[in-house]
Amino acid sequence: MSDSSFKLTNPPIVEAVLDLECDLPPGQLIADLEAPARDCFCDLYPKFKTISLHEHQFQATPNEPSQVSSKHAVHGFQFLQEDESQLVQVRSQGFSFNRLAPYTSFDDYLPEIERTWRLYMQLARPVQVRMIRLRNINRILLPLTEGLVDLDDYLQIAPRLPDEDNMKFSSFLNQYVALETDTGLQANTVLASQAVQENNLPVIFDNGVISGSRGDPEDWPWIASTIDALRGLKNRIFRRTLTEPCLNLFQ
Amino acid sequence: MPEPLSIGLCYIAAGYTSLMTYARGGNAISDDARIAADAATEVVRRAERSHVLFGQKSSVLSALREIADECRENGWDGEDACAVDPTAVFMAGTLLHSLPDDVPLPEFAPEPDGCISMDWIESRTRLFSLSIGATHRIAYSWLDGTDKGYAVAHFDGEKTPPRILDGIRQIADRGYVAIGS
Repeated sequence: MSDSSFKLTNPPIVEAVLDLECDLPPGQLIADLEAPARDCFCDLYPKFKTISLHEHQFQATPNEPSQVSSKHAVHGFQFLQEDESQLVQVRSQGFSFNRLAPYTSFDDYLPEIERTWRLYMQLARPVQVRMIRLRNINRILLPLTEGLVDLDDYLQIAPRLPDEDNMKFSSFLNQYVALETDTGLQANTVLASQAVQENNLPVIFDNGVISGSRGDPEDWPWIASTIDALRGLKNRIFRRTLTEPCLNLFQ
Repeated sequence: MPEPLSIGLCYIAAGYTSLMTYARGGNAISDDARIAADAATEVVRRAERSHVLFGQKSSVLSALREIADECRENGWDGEDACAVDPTAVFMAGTLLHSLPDDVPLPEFAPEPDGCISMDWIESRTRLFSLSIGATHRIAYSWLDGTDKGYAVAHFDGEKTPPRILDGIRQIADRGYVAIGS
């Protein structure tokens, strides 16, 4: 099985995000794209949200009532399917495709990614693709025995404590950014524990991979092959981060 | 393509920047993505309380916030200047965070079009200035005696654009690195 076609029966993925970061034409205002974007996407993605940056100001003056004011700036738009399990984002910096659970296989979503990307291209007329980022956010439930779990049983690169006999983790956040020297692809992964839930320790494994190669937005074969290379790296990281017993939790 | 880091100290410095970027959440929308970003935010907040790691940048950020506050309405200059754009303030703060520790910190100033300028002024004839607005495109210019230049660079929100970094260093270090493309 190739790295890019690695499949699990019950994948722990809660969200997959594909970002195509672009240079838009200078002077292009994202707000101007709202109406045409609605026309493009509202048939299959009828729910609409604006992505905004909000600034709130609280002004307190002695002997006077406090004043609150706010401003916001539009950064993009989200178009969601009726059940909100899939969405497309038209952003000032590019395009995103998000798939939430239930998740089958990236292959199942690739045709829709291509279709919606082509709509985005007609809409925003990007000059260049600057970066492609693929991110799988996984939620893994590690079973506890008498309230404890040996992380080494499930994680090949588990975090370490300076005194393992006398110290136990109550939580952890482990992030690294690394370069795959053969391909130039970058990995940005996070392992973070969550509060214990019933008899399990939930661990978020955010597995992100990035290609900084630049290319022509019209060149879908190049984009598809880059995505394929990213999937390969992502799957290698996934398999080499988790142990066999952990992978067996998803079969 | 980013270069692999081999020096531990460099990795630590870059690590905070990448963690800050992660803490902003990216384009994911699930609750679990938010929880992981919140955990990263907490680590960043704790690190930002360190005077050694972020003290100087915190002071400069305070100056930026003062400008944002003083220039938040149109006509702040007594004439017809546009209010400072909140996104420009956010982008300027993000760019400041991205600056490596060996780079001198800039002075901020509001611009009549709602942008923020960041200036490194060595002397009247030796300076580097950039203008950051609501987009990721940064216009910058430099003056070095009788030499001068102007260009535009893309800022990805994480790493200081290399041409801008070279330009600042050349002005600040009195080196002889070529600026611009």
